Amino acid sequence: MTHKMKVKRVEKGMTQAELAERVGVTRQTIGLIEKEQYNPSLKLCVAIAKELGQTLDDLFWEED
Amino acid sequence: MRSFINFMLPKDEYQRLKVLYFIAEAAVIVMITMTIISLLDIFLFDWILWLAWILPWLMALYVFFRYAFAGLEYSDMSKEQQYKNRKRKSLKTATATAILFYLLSLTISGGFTNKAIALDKLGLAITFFIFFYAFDRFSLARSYRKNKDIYDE
Repeated sequence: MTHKMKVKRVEKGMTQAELAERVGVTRQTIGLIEKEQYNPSLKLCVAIAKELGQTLDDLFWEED
Repeated sequence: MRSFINFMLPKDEYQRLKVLYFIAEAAVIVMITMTIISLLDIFLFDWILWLAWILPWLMALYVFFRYAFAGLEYSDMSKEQQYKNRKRKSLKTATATAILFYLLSLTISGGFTNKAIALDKLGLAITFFIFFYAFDRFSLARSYRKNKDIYDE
């Protein structure tokens, strides 16, 4: 399953490296979030949501 | 969070969390080792307590090795060409550091005028080079393997 964050990032035409730079983390961290291997802090979730112009629900809420 | 160790921690939150875990693990290992050394000192050998001086080094080495083995050191590298370039750079860095190490140890020990000391320090510098290079290459390989799976382009 592709992480919603990755879908929105690609839709916005942003690379992992660009997003990482904008939110102040490494590209590795963005990659791990997209692969669901790391749970980011709320602070980072908000920063990512703002950069991608989405809400937290759009990016991180899991539908049943 | 405000802490006096903040300056030692990486800025990236994933790396920061990992390093905090490594420090905590090292602290537990040191605590257990210290307890064993103390018990041995009390009940068996009264000369063993001096071993406690290695514990801070053990702690630092543990954190250092775990950091490298976790593939955190080269967090921006995922392409094969980058990996090859870094491998070349790693060899150059290890060689330059070993030469510097050799010159420094010669200066400190007076090896410039004594052939025996110079040879002795050369052996030490070669050992230093082997460990430094092997460690860096291992860290590089771990980072590459980790990043290859999580990067999308």
